[in-house]
Amino acid sequence: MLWLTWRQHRMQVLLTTALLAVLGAVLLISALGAADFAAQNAPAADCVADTPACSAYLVEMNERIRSVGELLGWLPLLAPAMIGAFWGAPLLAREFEQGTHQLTWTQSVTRRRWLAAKIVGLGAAVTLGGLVLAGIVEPWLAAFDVPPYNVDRFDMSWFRVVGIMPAAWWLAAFVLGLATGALFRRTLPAMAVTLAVCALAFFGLLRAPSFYATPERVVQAAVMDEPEPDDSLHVTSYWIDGSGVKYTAQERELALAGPCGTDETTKKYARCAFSHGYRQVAEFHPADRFWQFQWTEAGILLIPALSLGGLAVRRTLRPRI
Amino acid sequence: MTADRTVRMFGGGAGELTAPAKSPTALEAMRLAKRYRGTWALRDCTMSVPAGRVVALVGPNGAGKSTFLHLVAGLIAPTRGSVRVFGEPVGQRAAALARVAFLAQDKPLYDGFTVAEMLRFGHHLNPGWDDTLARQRLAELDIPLNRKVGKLSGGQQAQVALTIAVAKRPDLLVMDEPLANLDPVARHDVMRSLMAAVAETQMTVVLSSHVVSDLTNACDWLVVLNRGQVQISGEVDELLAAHRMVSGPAELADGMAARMPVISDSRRERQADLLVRTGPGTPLHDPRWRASGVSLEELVLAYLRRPDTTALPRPTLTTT
Repeated sequence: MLWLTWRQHRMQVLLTTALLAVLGAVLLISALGAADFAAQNAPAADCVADTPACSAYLVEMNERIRSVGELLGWLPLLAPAMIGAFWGAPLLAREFEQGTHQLTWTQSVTRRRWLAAKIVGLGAAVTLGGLVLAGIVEPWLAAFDVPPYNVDRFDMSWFRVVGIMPAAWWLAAFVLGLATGALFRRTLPAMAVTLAVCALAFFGLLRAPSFYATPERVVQAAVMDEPEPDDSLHVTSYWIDGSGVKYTAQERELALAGPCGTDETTKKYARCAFSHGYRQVAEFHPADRFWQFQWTEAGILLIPALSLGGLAVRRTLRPRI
Repeated sequence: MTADRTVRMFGGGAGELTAPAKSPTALEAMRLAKRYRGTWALRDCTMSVPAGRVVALVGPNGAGKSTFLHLVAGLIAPTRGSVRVFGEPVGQRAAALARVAFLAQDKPLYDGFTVAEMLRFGHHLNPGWDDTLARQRLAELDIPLNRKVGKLSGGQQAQVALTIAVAKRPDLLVMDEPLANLDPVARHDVMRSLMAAVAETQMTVVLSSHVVSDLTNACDWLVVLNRGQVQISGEVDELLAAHRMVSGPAELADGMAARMPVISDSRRERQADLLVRTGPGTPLHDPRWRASGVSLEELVLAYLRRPDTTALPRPTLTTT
């Protein structure tokens, strides 16, 4: 069964491995370049952002991480969709479409064993692939995390390419593809539906992590450099007046235009605002919620996917058609 | 083909000397029924086929042949009733699956596999796999092992599919329209190599077709399915011996029809041709009537036109 699984799905396995290898090479080159640059140019960790040396370093590091990061930004959408469409959907759909289930299911191996070998084998490979992706992205991010430049894994740019997120998304997409294949029994419709559901899930969950827990709230009454601790997930920030009424940026600007002027980027403006009774509120999730959020999203993806997959397996095992 | 059959019959005779007990039942269906979304594809289908037979399953399109064969192969589960193969219920157990080989209508194979990989597939999925037999068959048929299955001709693909089914070493080989979509030469070749395999392995074979002439020389047991029910089930020679085409004056036809079961009745101005069921030696008594034998094709056609008439082994055939 292991041989058959490999023989039928080796294209997917080899292609995914090759793409991961290419990505690994690109990230390695980028990380080596960044590490080299940081080693030579990193100013003191506590340098002030508006000094030329400090800002030049930050700008350059930002430029370097952005050029590759934009590429990585597509992965949380594209990779699960491809896994679902090319690993999951054809698994059953192609057998039904070409009638080969009538060949395979009448050999001396029970349908249950055949399906178990395929799901366990390919599911494990997909999960491993997702973990490998996170495993090559994390050292790359670490290469940029040289103070004063700060890389935040909790940031939504990276949240879905680190930790267990790729593995959870890939496995959920694979099981979804398997289920649509069992349902539609034709490869193309199953692939199309899998792609659509993956895209819906991606855009639906894009900003969802903010809601995975009640955010912590900091009320600022004096000028602070960074009200939110390092590596936390920013949720929202707004102003309130002395009686706690919420103000949007524009409303506050209008109210303060007289006493404080209009240049709100300076610390003087902020001091003026605070002295008039306004308070700045920041809502955020602290860094130690990272794994909690990773597992929450994994649950959101895997519980429905595995239930659907379970139904598909039951439907397939019942000797019906 | 006749030679192959002689070999088989001789083999059967030799077997009887050592095991005089009656041959076991290869296939037994009890009130088997299958419904798809409200329509009955098969209803109340009861039959029993002894081991070692080559069974022709014939019937018009939509008679339920494929459904019946899928039930025998365990691909689908019956709505009601049961099928047993060599006394064991068909189902999703490895031991039951190993006894039956199934060749589906389109002879599905993995197009991207080479012939050698298809053999490896058979080897990995069947504990009783006979690799020597498989390779020998393919060598005799001049089918290259390194060719992709999708690049073979239709006849060669059918031979590869048949090889995989035979090399599984089943006790029962079930084939759904094995000759459909093949040209006449390929039909002949496939049938000949099938009969050779049957002679070698002593397996029981059930094959379906809606073309009776394909099967006349090869099969020794006939099952006719019509509208989801078994209309005929019996040994070909017995069936042929039990039916006569009688011709005589049209005015006496009603009298003749009253004396024996008439399957088909065609009357012209003066002459009537009746296909009747008789005992082998039943005399006609009346010199104005002439009797002749019927061909299998005539017999099947006559029955198919009268779906309400049946010829089942007990009690009708054995008591006449």
